[in-house]
Amino acid sequence: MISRVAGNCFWLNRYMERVGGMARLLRVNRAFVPGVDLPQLHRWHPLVVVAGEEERYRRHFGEDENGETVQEYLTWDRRNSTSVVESVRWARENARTAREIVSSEMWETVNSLWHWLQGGPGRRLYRSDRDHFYQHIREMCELFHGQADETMLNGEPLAFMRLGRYLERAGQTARLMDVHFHTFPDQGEIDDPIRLAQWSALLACCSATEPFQKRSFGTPTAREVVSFLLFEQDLPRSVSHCLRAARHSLVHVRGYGSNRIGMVSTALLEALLSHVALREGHPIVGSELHGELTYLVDSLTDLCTSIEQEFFHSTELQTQILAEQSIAAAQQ
Amino acid sequence: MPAELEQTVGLAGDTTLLDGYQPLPRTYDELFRSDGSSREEVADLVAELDQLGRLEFMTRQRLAEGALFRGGVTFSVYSDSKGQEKIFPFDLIPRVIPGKEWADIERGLVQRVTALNMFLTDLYDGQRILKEGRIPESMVFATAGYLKELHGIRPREGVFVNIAGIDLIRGADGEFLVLEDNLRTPSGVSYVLENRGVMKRVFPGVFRRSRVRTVESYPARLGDALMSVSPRDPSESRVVVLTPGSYNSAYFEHSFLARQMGCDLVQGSDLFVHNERVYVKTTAGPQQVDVIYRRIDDDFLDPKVFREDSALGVPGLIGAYAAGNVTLANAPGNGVADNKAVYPFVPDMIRFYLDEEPILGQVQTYRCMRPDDCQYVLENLGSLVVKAVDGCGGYGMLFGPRATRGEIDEFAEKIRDTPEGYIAQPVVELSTCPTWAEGEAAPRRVDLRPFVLTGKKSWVLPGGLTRVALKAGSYVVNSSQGGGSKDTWVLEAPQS
Repeated sequence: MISRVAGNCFWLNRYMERVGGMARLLRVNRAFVPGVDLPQLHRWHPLVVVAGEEERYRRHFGEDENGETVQEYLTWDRRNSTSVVESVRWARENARTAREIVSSEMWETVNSLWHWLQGGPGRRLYRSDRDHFYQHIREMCELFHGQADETMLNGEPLAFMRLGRYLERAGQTARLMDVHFHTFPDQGEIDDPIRLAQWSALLACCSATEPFQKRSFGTPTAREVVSFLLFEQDLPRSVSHCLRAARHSLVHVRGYGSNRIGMVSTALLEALLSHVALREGHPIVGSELHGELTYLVDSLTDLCTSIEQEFFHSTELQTQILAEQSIAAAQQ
Repeated sequence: MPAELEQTVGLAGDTTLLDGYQPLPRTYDELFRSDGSSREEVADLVAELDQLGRLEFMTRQRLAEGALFRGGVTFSVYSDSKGQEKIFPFDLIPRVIPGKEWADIERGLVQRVTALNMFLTDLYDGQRILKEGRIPESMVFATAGYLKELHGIRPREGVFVNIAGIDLIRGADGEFLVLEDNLRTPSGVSYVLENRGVMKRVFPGVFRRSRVRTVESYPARLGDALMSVSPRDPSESRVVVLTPGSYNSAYFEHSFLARQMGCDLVQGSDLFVHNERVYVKTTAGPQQVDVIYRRIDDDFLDPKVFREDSALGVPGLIGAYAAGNVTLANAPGNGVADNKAVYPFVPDMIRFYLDEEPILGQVQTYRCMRPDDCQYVLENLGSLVVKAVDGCGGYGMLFGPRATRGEIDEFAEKIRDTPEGYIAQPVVELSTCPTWAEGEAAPRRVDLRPFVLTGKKSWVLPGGLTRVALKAGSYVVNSSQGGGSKDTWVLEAPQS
């Protein structure tokens, strides 16, 4: 398929994953904050950090960590490239550009989510029943990803969509954990109500509360939660699961093409996977965890950059392939 | 809802659709004679539409608009970041052309496009027509459309104009006249196809009984025409549609045509040139491209040859074209044949190249660069339509009868400054067609853009895009200025 259009597919699903993640995070935090006695800085500020928007937020709002300001910024602010409304805008642009590839069902979902946010209904619900507002967005994202699986031909475009979705999700889980441990650094048993609330919020952000209950007995420990979110292959949002799913898609994609395209990306992903596999079963604690998560997030960024260069913006590589082909032809 | 329904009933009652319809004086109406009776050739069809009644008609109009919006048959007005998307207003009352009449139009269009192709071939090569003094040289080279960089390059099969949209209007006497030739990147055909799809859904019965000629084969015919001018064997050829991008107002059409033809839709940045061949970047590596149906203007095609600042084009594209390794459809450089300064000479081209008399007439044109014409124009501005030679889309023109004193003075000034930049034409009373307006059918002015495809030979899409000026009394049919569209029904010629 056309390289640029592959990029549209990748980004369409990546943005929709981001929208769903942000909506989930905001909703969980709204439930979490009133129940616990936290210093102001630990209430809403961590969300801005997860979004990677610390610097820009501070530039616009200074030390204002008011929940309303943060929610408004992460949901509606056009200056924030990761806000819900901006992510939906870019998802829709990618879908519109690749209309001949994206299924009508997916297009209509993204399109109607966009119109809902842009028009009155979304705004009104945001004011009157905010939990319901975030819930609706989350459900639209789930509908969208379900439609991708149900209405797309199982071919190259869908493989790029999944690749975008899982890499985004792996990064989200890693960032969420990192911010969590940065805010609440203590390890060990989770035995008082406040700590329990903190940990539950983290699990809820990864849709992992119920799955975790099914796999753990007695008083949970921080180590167990970490291990679950990083390594549990059966958990749809664990880093390990996302990386494996991404590998599946990347192999699928490369099956269509030339050996030369995707080499670097595959190597990076394989390296990351074996790194994670080596860590599995070993306790990761304290500052080591921060180092580990930073490594994960950075590696994912490198991987996405490499995918961009190899698959979507590949002018140099393509010219190189042609040159090699003509040399090979001349030698024969 | 009940209140709204009641009101509708109160307004329209059970009256028939075309009850009391009266054509404008001294104006040809597509469906009705001046005495208010329907034209014989379309009488059955008109009677059927009429019987629907206004209420039923309004229900179906709403259905149609809903279908177009959901289907995303929109053109966008990207003046702000909200990305306003609108449906091209669509009127359900069809414009009907009897089969016999259409046969003449068809012959006339093919004749005209053939002559224009021969003119372009000649102009970019031997320039016989100039040497023999049939067209003044100054006329041709003064315009922006002639691209000297392309002199001596002959496209495949000598076809410069693969896709033509020839705008026709019908004057008070009922004769079709050519108003404008669009030989560069004419648009609108996707609306013809989408409108037809909607009409078939909302008027299945009327449609079936009227023996309307089909338009659905257009994408396949376009594909054939493009493939037939490929530099390589069709079995190994790759055709693409080249778009300026998703922010272009016609992006829907580009995407639609690519989807319908089953080929890739690409942007300039998806293509690159290597050893004078064009390749598209795919996830499986570079693939050679043979035919480019390009929907970007000449100026932007190749920053190495034309506008350096063009980010839409492909560096080296013109080199690959000149080397004969890729076909560009339409060929670059066609602007010299469809601008308003050359228009007055098309009948002479037909006589010169084909030794035939033109089948289709055209509008009388005063060229301001000729002193006599210029003087006449300046003295009669109040009754003429003045057009800038390089203007299009209804912009940069003066409509004398509707202009204020100030506007007329302003144009007079411009014409005196650069007479070669303007032509003038008498006002043609564009024909009307019944059109739904404010709860009843009223006469509104229409034009017609048929599409002519040329590969090894020419084919005319039966019908074309009928554009309608939705405002009462307006002559401006452009979508950017309050125009809408109608489905065009060409009837099968009666078997005799």
